Amino acid sequence: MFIVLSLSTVCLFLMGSAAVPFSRIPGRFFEQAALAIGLGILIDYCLMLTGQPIARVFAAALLVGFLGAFRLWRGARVQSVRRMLESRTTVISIAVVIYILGMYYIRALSEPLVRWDGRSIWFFHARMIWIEGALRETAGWTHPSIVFSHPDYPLLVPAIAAQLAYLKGYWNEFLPKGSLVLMLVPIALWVFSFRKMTLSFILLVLAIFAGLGAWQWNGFMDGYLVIYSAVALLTFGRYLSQGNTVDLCSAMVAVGIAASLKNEGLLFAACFLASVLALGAKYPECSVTSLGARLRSDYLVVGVLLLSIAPTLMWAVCKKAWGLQSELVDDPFGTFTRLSVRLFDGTTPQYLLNYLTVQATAISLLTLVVAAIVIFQRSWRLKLHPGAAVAALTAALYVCGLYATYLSTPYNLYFHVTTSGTRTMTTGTVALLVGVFFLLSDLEASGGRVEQTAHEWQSTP
Amino acid sequence: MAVAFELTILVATAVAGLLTGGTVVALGRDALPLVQTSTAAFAWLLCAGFAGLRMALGSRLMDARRRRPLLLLTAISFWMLLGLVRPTLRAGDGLTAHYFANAAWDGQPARLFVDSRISTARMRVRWNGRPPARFSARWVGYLAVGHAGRYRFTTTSDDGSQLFIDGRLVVDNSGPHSRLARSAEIDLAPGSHRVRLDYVQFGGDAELMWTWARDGGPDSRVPAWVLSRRAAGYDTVLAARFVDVGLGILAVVIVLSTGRYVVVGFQSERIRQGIERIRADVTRPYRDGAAFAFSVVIFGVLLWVPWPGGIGHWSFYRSVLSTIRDVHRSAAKAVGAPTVFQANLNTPRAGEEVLPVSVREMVAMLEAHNVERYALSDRVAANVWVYQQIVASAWPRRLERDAKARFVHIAEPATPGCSQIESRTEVSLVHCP
Repeated sequence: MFIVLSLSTVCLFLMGSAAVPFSRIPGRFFEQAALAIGLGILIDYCLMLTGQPIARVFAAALLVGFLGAFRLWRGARVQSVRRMLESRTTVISIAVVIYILGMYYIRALSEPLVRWDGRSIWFFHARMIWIEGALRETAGWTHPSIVFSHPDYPLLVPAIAAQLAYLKGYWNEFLPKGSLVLMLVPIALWVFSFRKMTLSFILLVLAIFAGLGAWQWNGFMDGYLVIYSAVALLTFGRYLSQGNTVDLCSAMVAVGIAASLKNEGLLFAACFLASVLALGAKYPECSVTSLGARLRSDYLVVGVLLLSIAPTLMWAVCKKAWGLQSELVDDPFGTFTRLSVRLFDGTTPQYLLNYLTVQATAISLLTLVVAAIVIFQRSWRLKLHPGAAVAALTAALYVCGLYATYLSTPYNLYFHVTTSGTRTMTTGTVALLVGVFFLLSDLEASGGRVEQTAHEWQSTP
Repeated sequence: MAVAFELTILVATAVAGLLTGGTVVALGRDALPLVQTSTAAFAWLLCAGFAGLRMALGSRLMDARRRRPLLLLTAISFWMLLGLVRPTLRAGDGLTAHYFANAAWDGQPARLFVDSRISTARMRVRWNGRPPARFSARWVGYLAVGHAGRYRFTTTSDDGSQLFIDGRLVVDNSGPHSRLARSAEIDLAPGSHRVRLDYVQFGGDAELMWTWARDGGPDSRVPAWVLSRRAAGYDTVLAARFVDVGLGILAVVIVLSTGRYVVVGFQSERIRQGIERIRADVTRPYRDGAAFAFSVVIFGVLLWVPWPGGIGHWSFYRSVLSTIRDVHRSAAKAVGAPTVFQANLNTPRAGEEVLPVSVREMVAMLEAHNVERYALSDRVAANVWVYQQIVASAWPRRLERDAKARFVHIAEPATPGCSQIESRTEVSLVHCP
């Protein structure tokens, strides 16, 4: 399994390298490698969504991988590798990344699929794809007996799990979880591209790699949605402060993956986009004009953008063609009726708000922490980090979106919110923590400077 | 030049990874693990570790004259060559092992492996250290014989065992009994002979040993390298044996030369200077005492925030500690019992014991009677967990309301017009025309 995962990671890296020539997107090895693997994941999912047999998808992936290897061979990576070899903190970072991935490899594969979400949704779908040998309608997505498994959910991780099982040649309750480890590889690289020897970075590492606990190995997708959302906010925040194309591309890829992990990922993507556009008035880097100019001037960014949204669009087309629809939105009138009835019944809105922001999550407390740091920063006349603003606004919009979703649920609201509220809201919680990270980073680096970024710190002699 | 050197090593590592991965993929399609997977994984790990260390140390940190690991590169190259050759020699990889959770080799095997060695210890490992009280096992494949002669085969078992060669019962050590050795002789011509070894355990102590001797010589265990899943000539088996030995020796060479290379690197004065520079960096980001103090306060507050992680509704730091403890406990367990960890990954259908008993029984009955469509009685379907798990576990066998095969709880009264096909401890399969 270790070999299969290593091989898959290399293949995904080469596939991503084919899509983005790194000579055109300067950056350090960690960002570039993470971006390449992330793009590889999206390309692989797109190939699977074409409905071709897994063997044919592998052949296509290998072809794309060879193209990537050819591009690397032409020397695009030489400068980056050279920089990596000469970096002082890379020694520690590589060791820690290998350690974290090794630990999660063992943890995830030590335990069979036990919990409901993993068994009944994600890895059941993976098994359906594996048995069919392809991601296509004839796998039986519309069979009435599997309605409980939400067949309309996105299939990114199930598709990878099915491919791993195909490589191994059999199915069991352990090995498909290797897909979870594979999904962690780009995350580890992205997070450690922010490496600094500060408390804010320690906080970030703890939140991403130790704060989510079992959700990163028990087969739930919530943990992965949280960390990909967090990475999208982190990389976009760094793009706003440094303007590196690699960060903009990373943010787009992370949002694309998040949207293909769970339906809540689509909500996150919408909130993220809305907050970016809304903050365009205050921060010119976020404005439609600035982003539009970047897209017009760099066709690579357009390519990455298209690759990022392609799987979501392709899955939407598949769902439409196969007649799959989420039960939460299948009846717009009913949805609106339920929402309005509960909104004005006198008790539900208060209960739900209290549950989602106080009882089940740390959102209210984190909001206070964010406010405290902002006040402290203002007393120092520091500028608010645009990444923190985007993270905070995205968190707020996401909470509002989920609030409306729960209010309109066709299920018993109390059952629905108590069984899933904590998990789904964690994306908002960690988004706020990303905001805290940016604010603390500014404070840490503010001794005589407005901002010192990881990149600048790295290059400090 | 230095970068070209680093790139060469990176490419060598990547090719080694691709080759070993390709090897596993090529033979993995048989749904059985490759016998030398552990060797391949070991060498690949070494290559990756070496490349990582080499990159971490950096080319500038070593003296030019010490920078040439010729022995290491040669060993890796030869290992890659042998690794490429080994899968083409489909021999010496052991026997296909079927483990049954009953004492009659009945139904679908609970576990399926390739066993290079057949022994009591190997059987315990295959059952994750906890074999059921009653179980049976069957090994099938080919035995390569180099010289014609009269061979004596012996099975020592508790309880029964039987050895078949070329379809003929050679050693009959069957039945329930304590440790008992039985021998028989057979004339074998050079070449490949189909072999089948059956073992059954009825309870109590379990033991199995399989030995052979030629022309009245001393008994010795049947070596792994003469056993193959497919018919293979003796010369092929010998070649595979040489390649396996070569891979082992090269792995040792790679370990030693990597160790030497790393030791030489760490002796460099520049390494010590680099560590000093990193130490200085730790304090650099905090140039202001107030900012540092405020960061510490915020960090402390965040550690106490109620945290909705996957572990539970605890404070952030408790959630983090609990996760770290959990992950390390798993790692310690896996390192302490690596064969169990590997067996879980390499066993088709491993981990199904997490399913409810009734679900496992239903799946077994569907497979035993080759039922493609089935229905559930209201009582069975009333348990939502059981309903969902049978649908997921039995897939692509489908749950249809009008199916003639129907599962009923054993306590349910018989339905008129339906005939019972099979009954187990919790559910029965009935046929309702």
